[in-house]
Amino acid sequence: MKEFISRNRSFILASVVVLILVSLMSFTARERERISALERALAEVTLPLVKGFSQFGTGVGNWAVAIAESGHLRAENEQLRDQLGRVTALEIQLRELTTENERLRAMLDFKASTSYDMVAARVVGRSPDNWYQTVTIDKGEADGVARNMPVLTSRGLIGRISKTTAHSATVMLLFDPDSGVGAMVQRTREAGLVDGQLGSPYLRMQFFSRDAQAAPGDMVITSGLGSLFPAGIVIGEVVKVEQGQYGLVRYADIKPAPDYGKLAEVLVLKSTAPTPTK
Amino acid sequence: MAYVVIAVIMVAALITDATFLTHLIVAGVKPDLPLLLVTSFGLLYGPRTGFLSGLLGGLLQDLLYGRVVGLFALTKAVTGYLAGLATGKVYRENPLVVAAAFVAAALIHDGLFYLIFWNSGHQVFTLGVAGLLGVSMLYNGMTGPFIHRWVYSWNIFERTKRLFDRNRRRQAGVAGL
Repeated sequence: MKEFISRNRSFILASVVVLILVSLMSFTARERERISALERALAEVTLPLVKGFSQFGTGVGNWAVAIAESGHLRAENEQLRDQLGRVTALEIQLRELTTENERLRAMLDFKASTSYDMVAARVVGRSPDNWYQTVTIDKGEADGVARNMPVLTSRGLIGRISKTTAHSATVMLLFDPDSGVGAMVQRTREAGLVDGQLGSPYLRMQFFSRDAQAAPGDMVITSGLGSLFPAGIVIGEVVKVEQGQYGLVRYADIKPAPDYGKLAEVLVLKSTAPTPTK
Repeated sequence: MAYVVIAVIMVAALITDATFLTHLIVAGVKPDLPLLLVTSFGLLYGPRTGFLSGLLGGLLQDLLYGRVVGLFALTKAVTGYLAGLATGKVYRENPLVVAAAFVAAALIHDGLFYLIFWNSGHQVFTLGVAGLLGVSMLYNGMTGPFIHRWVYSWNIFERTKRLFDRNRRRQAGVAGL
């Protein structure tokens, strides 16, 4: 026995390590309320480096792009795209608010407001692997950012806060396979759940009804069900609708409204309830 | 001591991957710098070093950017160990063989991650994953030989040992006075 152990020491040790890792994985597989002190400390210690690298990277990236394109055209194009995105988002929001207003007026004579308590943050990093879809932002608990707060850009929802430290936070993007948001098609009011699929360039919406009438071109917005996300935030546009296996479920592929490849500044919604206007 | 240096290198590689290399994303994929380093350590120093550096790099990735602690530690440790089995068979003089080793490492690492992920009941778009895997293998195969050359010429273990010996001799000299 002793001889067997000494002969296969390395293999036995490696097996023990693998067993420990597998049990560690099963312990941490479920979403945790708080991250460990070690994770928190590592994130805090490396944050200045991440910020520095990020700024350097952005600088070099911008420089390379500026060489590739004409600087003037790029700036103008960016500005116009941003304006168009804002106008589209506003238009959709306006339409949503109008229908909501009509319904509420009729029922309660209720005056709604869209003023939320928000904090702006800069994206300083992305998950280093090619599988998880997360970004790191430079605002954390010290700025009032907490787990599960919705994160958006001027074009729409991008995800929610999954981890926080004192001065940084991790945003789980809607593309992440672990994400999930209650949604509905703006035109037909059909509700469902939108989440990410590993390897897919689109978000996937699973309708609650198998007879959903959504069609390509329809806008998808948050439904407000589930209490994490307020209703009426733009998610994206339907590009394809299909029936699941055996015809029991109906799915839609959603092209997200924000450009996930160019996330630079984001807004964290500190409160999902609108602040009442006086 | 060398593993402390490896840990520091791994943290730097992770931060570079999370920030600077996001500008080099091609078809949704960027080079996995920690994986390239682990593969290189395995190829140069054998299964034990490959396994340990993979375990260290993966664990740091899990703690810094991961969600399930142990997932990347496992995938990188296994990849490092398997790369180590090819020690002595892959020479830096033949860049094609080195590139092939990095392609295989990406396949093992990403394939293992995908299997664990799929087994845990997540939604997977198989065609998209196959595409990501293909691009990842190609990207790692193209960038790996450059990292391997750097790791080879830097010779981390020999340098750390020399530094350690020099400090020890200096301390012994001071004690002798």
